[in-house]
Amino acid sequence: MDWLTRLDRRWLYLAMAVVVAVPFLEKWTFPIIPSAAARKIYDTVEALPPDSVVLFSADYDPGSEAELYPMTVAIFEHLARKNLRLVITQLWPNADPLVQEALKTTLIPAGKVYGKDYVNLGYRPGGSILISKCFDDIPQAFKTDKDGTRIADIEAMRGVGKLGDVDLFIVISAGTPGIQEWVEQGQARTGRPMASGMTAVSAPDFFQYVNSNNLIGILGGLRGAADYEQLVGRPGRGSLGMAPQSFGHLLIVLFIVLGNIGFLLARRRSRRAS
Amino acid sequence: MLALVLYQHVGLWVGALLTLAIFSFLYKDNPVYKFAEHVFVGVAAGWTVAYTYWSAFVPNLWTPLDDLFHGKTEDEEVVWSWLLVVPATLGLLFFARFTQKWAWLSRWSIAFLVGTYAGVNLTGMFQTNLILQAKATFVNLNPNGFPAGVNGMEQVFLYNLPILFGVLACLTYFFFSKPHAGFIGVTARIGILFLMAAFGASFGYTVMARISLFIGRLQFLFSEWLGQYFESLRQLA
Repeated sequence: MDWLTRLDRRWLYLAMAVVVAVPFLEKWTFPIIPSAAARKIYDTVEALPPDSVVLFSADYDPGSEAELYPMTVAIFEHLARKNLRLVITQLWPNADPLVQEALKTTLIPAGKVYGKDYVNLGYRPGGSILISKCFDDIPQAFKTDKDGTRIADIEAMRGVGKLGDVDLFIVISAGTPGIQEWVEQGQARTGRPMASGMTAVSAPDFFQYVNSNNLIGILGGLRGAADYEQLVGRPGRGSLGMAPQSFGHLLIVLFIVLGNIGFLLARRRSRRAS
Repeated sequence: MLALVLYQHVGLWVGALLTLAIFSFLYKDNPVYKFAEHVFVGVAAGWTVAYTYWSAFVPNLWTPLDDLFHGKTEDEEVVWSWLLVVPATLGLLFFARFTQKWAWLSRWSIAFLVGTYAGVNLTGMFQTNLILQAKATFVNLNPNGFPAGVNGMEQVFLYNLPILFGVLACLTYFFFSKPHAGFIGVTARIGILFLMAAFGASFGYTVMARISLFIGRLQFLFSEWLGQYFESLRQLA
């Protein structure tokens, strides 16, 4: 078993590539049971009456596309079906191409009209200061949408003067600024419900906000995206990724067990030798 | 139309080759990987600068000042745009760092920035990360005190008690005014177990995130890049 402690890590990379690629190429699928946290978000959106205002903040960039883009698509799909008014903001400058792509596959094919059913206010810098400004006056904070149209001239923004006029916040974030800033400056100050999706790395940091009722639910990583896709009934990249993900996890567990066996054997041998 | 199709194909090939170049690092460090890494950093920085210029600098500073100086509007809000000279000056002072003689001027900008952020965030952080988190530990420990349809025993013993004892035990571990011996030592030890469970959960989620990123790249390589050619071949067959 000595080879276990001296195994070239590149063999592990190769094993991981094979284990993840085969289920993906063979299109293996596993049954996905949506988590309670995802179901709570879904139920909250379902309960909103038509024409309710949903503020969606896309606070990520292509580095997190694999995890956060699928959940953006699933959420947009749900909002389009429910005929909710969508106001999109971005605290990260590189989110816009991903937002545009998600709109092309959801709201636009559903016949939603830009400016009337949804609006993209685009990126503005400032993070928490921008949100704090939006708390008092969104038109003052953004002034125009991403195409330069004055907010006062946008039908989708009628009656949306401040954050308190929003019926639901949905924040999909890969870091700072993102969920924490929206919780502190948006949700906590307005008391409006807020749902969020984040990369799996940061998910454990935000469960506390579910306990404290700041967040109604969270979508953590690709699994969260798959959950929401199942709830919406539109399996996409998240659902397709669950079988490769599960096999990848099994392999990591196997590596950890083997690594520990190798470590224990090496330690026993060194003790006997001494 | 042809140009658009060509553009999409070239884009896919560039993306695929750069992805493979980045993966080549897993074998060993090499010039192809370094090239891809530098391209990524350069493109990301370039995009961010250009996008920030058009979406932040122009609408928030340039256009209002331009409107003011050229008298394009008598809107009351625009009349007060001259105040934007103050943040513009503070922004320019950041560039003073490039000179040794005037670098100290940038401290004014940094001080303003830090002060503003601290002022805006202090109450929000205090409210959400201290008050509400402390309140969330005031849990119901009476199994009969839950609404109909909720399993009180399960709620108390599986969720509420672990939250209460977990918080108390973890806080005891970070309590250094008494030696960790006897009752305090045992409680601190339980606190370590809770902390280890939390770190384990974080590690598990991190593994999940990294594999998700890999799956995302595989989806791009096999579906978007190679997938189109497989599809064309299938149609020809």
